[in-house]
Amino acid sequence: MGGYNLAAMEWAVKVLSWTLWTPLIGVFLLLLIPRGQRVLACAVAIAATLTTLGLTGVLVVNFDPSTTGYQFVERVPWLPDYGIAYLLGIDGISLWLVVLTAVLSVLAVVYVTLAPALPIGSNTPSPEHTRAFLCHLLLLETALMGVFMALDLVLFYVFFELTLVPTYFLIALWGGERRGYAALKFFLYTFFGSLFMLLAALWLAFIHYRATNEMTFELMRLQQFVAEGGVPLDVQKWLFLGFALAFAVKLPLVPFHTWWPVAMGEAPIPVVVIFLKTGAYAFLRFGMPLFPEAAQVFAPLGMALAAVAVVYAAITATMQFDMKRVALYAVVSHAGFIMMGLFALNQTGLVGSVVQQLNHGVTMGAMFLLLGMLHWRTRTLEINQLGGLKAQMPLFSALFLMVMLALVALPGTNGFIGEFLCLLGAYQAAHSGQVATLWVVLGATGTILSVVYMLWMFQRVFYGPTPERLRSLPDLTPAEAALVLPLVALIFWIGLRPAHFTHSLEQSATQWVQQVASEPWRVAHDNSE
Amino acid sequence: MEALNIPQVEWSALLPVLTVVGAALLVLILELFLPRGQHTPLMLVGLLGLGLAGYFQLALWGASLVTWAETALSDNIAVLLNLAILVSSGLVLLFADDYLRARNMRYGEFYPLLLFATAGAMLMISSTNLMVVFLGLEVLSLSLYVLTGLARAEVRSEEAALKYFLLGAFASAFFLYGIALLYGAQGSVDMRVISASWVASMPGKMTNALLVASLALMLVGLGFKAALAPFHMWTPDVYQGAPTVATAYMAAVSKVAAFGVLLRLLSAAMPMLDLWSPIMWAIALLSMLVGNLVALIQRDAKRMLAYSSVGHAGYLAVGLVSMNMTSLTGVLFYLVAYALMTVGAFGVLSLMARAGDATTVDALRGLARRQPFAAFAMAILMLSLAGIPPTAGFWGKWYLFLGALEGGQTLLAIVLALTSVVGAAYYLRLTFSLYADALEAPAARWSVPAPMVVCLLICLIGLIGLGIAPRPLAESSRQAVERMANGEWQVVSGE
Amino acid sequence: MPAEYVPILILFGLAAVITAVMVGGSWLLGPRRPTPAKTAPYECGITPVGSARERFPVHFYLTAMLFIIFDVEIAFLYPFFVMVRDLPTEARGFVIGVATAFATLLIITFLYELKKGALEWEDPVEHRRLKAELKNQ
Repeated sequence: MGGYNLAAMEWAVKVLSWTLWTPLIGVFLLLLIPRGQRVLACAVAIAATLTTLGLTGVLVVNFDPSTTGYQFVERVPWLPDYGIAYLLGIDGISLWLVVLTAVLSVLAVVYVTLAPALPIGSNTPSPEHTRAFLCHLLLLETALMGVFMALDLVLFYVFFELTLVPTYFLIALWGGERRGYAALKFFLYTFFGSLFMLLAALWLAFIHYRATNEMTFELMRLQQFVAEGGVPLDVQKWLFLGFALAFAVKLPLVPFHTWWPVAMGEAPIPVVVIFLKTGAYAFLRFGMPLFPEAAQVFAPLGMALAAVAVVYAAITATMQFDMKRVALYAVVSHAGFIMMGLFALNQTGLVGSVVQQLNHGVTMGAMFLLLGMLHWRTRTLEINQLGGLKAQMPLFSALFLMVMLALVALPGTNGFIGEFLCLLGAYQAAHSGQVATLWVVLGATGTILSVVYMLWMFQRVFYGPTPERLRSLPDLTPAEAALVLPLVALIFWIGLRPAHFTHSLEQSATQWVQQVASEPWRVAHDNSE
Repeated sequence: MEALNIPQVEWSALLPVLTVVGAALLVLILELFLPRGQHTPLMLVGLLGLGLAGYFQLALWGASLVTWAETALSDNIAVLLNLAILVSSGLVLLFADDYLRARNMRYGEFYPLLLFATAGAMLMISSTNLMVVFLGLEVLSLSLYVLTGLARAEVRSEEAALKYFLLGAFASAFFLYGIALLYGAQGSVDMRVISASWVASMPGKMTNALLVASLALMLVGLGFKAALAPFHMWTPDVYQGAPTVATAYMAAVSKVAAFGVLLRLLSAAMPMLDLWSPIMWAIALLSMLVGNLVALIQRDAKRMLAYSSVGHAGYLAVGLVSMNMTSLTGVLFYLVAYALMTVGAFGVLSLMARAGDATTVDALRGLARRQPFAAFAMAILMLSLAGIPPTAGFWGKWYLFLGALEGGQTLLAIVLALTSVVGAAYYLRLTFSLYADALEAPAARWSVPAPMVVCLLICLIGLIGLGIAPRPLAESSRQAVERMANGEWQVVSGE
Repeated sequence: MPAEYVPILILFGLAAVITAVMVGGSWLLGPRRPTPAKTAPYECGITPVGSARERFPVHFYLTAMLFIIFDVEIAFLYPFFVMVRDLPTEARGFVIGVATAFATLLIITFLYELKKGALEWEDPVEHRRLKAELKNQ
């Protein structure tokens, strides 16, 4: 364990902190701007997010893919009596999630900048409230970055909860019709889950304290403690369930997903765009490595849940009347794939699952941005109120088609890589007898179902007769198209050259598998290759 | 005749309380010579007195004194909690004038009463001698009864004052009876004798029974003051009926004082842990459940906060039941944070005075448009009450969780978690109603008075500051508890 | 120890028994021929007027409470100064100090009462109003 990259530490001691806190500095700058100065506020926010993106670029350039362990580690004691530290670090897995967060934040802020002045209740901040909106958005960026960087359980919890606060206000203030209900449901569901994570974390730290007479919440040390047999399997199971509850709610994993379509259905588009898969990341960073034995015990259950989630959410998506809700259920369905890859507990599955997490950000981000721009024009996303858009908005339709094909995992797009690897990993696990093949087969049908709901929606929205009131829809402006293009480029980049991204993952993934899979598992996995 | 023992006196130990009493007397006299309704000088003198007392109190940090014939003491717990009391009183003093003026209740008595109450609360914490504790309790309570009925033209306020007085007198009687029984058993009214006499006493003997009865009665009395279920019945009516500034004061100060005494008493009664632990366990559980669940259905923000204060008392009781270093540190930390949170929250509600003092959740709708800063402050305060990081409320809960797990109170920890979610529900509902129509066309702005801005800023900076850097308070609390546990006392007396 | 209290318990019992016998006996044995005059409350032979639950001016309560303060003062201060003479010299200062503090508090209280008009029988506000009215006439 350990193995910090000392060279990188010396070179750039505080890069992670700068990356983490730059958006917050942006918030303070925004507060200095007088209310109502929309253009200025947008400029400051764009500058802040671009700076953050630049800093993540520094991370990428200086990241050393050849070593395992965490890099750019920073450690400042926070509550030393209880072994709580401000401990940041990233490895190959979190690196790309951090970068993606930065990219999507830039796009979300630009999206807000481009937004036309619309009446209240249309999910878009009015000029007067743009500043407040951007403040929350930047705070959310900091919180998400913190989730991906924190290596101390308490610090992680703090950031995990901190994501709730700006999101709550973004939904409650700028959400749709049922925003109050949606915001509250969102908050309570996720708060409920994460409190049990906190209890489990405290319990774990306390067991560690009883054994070693030292209090710590540091991920690496607790991991080692559990790996050395410090926690009996019975207790491990409970602790794993505590963590899993929080992450499954956040993910969202069926049957804990009911808040997701409600909350995100009402949420403004930029929130949906940058609300990344913190739940999945938390599973792979904390849930499984901390309690490998329990993870193995629960793997069959997890795989079953994930497969059911894939199919159930896909069928539900088919039935939706609203384009946004179709996309939201597609997210739930894809979350199922991510979990299948994770619960395979082998290298293929893990890499697939991480790629799928990135895909989620890229593809879904593009999809929701496009939906938002469509909403600016049509003021509705209800499928049966739309039709024949292809003739009206050719550029929009082309971009939407590309994103949609990535979503249904067409070979050549990122979706294919992610889902293929997830399913392959799951098959390997099934092959070695750890999970039932049935669930893997069931999950695989999800790829077909996604084609059903997506293409059907596409057909109804883009072909057929155009309703009277949509006769003269303007196509995307160049600026709007340019907003989505980077994501479309990423779709094909990951799809055609996945190695560029998985390269930096490999060491971390190997190490992860070593931690998570015990001996018989690794043997089985090696045989299957 | 018997030789009279003249106690050797260490003045510094009582100096903070005496300063507050002095300020109260000064304000009392000053009010007579001021033109009617001119209260700014009273406020200033009061604040000066509290500040001076705070300075003297800080100077006592680290000292462990028992003096005045062992009736007064000063240890770090007393310093910490007294400072919390002084700060809460100061904040209430700051914003009270505006409220009283808006409600047309410019009674100059408000200021001396508040200061006397503060002195009483400080006295309660600064002694292990139960008679002195009782004296402080009565000074605090009597002042609070009057403050509750200050809006004497209003039936609700009168009703609240009467209810509070009757039930409070009843509770005081319980407490006093407990003290009497302790005296009967041991011939001393110092709570530190409980431990030794319990160890010495035999089961089934009279002393033994008297001690049990005494502790039970004292728990009832203090449970009432701390608003622990099932002794919480008065809380919603009194909190709602009292003028909001008085509510702010009593919610913060009497909770701190009552829990300060409970903490001392129960640690003194450590050998009887097996006896009182199940009782406190049940009280904690009941308080958390009743407080939070009933708060969920309240329509009035003051009633809601009243029930939520029962819930918070339950959380604190979890810390007392667990009875270990971590949990007691948590109790101290939580008390300080809670004082700031409640004073701030009721302070914001007191702004409603100019809208007919309606405090229903519906009446608060759209406050964000009228007073953006107050609404923002309320949102942060609510998040802190709900225990969301990075606010002080989070660390308080964190300590209580860890303490409960350490003390083997897993069930209480789980209930604490579940009821926190319930708590978050109503805190957020209140927050949402502040912001419900925030984006409509801006309504006429109400200016937030400058003292209120100062007060809210202090609360916010304190809560977020403690959320980001909990270390100073956490470590001071821990030191305080450790010193109490080690029993490091430096007795300054005549012999 | 409880045994020491047995005589008191017996005393309580005796008191209860004697009372019960006397009251109960007269209730059982005595002849009763009620007339309106006999059942009326005893008011020095005068026919009662109105209800006994009459409302008093609040001044009575106030005065009664103020009286208690000074009553207690005397009760405390008198023994204080009787004892001072018998005390050793070094203790005298302390006792006088305590008594002075006590008296100072009382003086402040008294000043407060005086200035607030608590000792004036007339309601000062009402009084002023009446005076103003008279002037106007």
